[in-house]
Amino acid sequence: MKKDNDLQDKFLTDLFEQMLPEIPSAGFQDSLMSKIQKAALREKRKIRWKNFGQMAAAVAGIVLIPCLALYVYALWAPDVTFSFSRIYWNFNPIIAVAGFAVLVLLIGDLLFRKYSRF
Amino acid sequence: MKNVSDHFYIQRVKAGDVQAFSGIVQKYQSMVLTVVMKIVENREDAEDITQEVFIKVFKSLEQFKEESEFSTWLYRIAYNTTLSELRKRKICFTTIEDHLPLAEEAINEDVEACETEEKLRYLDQALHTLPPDEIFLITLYYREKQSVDDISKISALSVSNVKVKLHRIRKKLALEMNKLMQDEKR
Repeated sequence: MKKDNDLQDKFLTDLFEQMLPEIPSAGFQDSLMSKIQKAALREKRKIRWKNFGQMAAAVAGIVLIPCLALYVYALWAPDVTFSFSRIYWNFNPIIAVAGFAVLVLLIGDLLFRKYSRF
Repeated sequence: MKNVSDHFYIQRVKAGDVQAFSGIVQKYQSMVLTVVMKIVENREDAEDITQEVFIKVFKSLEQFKEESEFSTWLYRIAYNTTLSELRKRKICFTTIEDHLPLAEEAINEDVEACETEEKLRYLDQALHTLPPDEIFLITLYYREKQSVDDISKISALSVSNVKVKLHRIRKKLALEMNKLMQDEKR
């Protein structure tokens, strides 16, 4: 039985070795590389959006949330000695804080596009 | 030398040089297509699946830590992609029932005595009676000379399971090739 298996193994080894490799049709590599280029672009965009999202979250965490917390506190305690409307040139503080956050995001994105390898 | 150039291309692609991926494609396209063509007879489908394999390789290259051979890692992606693409495309196979007990069948002497071309034809026809995962395993073992250990890594089967599967596949091939020979003789 062992001999049978060995013979069968040798028979298949020899036969598979005779099989010719498949050659891709003309244009296969070009079409594949164009798909790869598109996939690379999509990946770059995905990474850019991911970084932009992370930056937006960081800005929200660092700037927006403390400002909003302070604003809510100011509303809740009306006898507080300072006023947001005076600090932000009589603008509604929410608009001012949101505008500031958007500005930070835009500048951050511009810097990211300029200096990132993507 | 083979690993040095693999490493070179991989590092360049990881550094952002997309065009360097063509070096990997050039080197492995025939290897992957040969295995896929054994499973999918239609060349257009086989080339589509091969392209899908390379796109997945490109997308997950960041995750390749070079702890194993690149070819083993590539075959693992090819194995999983081919099987899932076949399911997606609903390509059907007529296969020998796996639960049937298989007799210890050796290749018939008449088959062995045939011309190489004829034997290759029988083998090709016999291969297409196997389920896709088995065609993949046997082609990796005999055609691509992958070791049982590597096939175990590629297919996520245990080493002993791979050995048992290869033994069963050999028996199925012998059975089918003998049957084809007898049918043609009649």
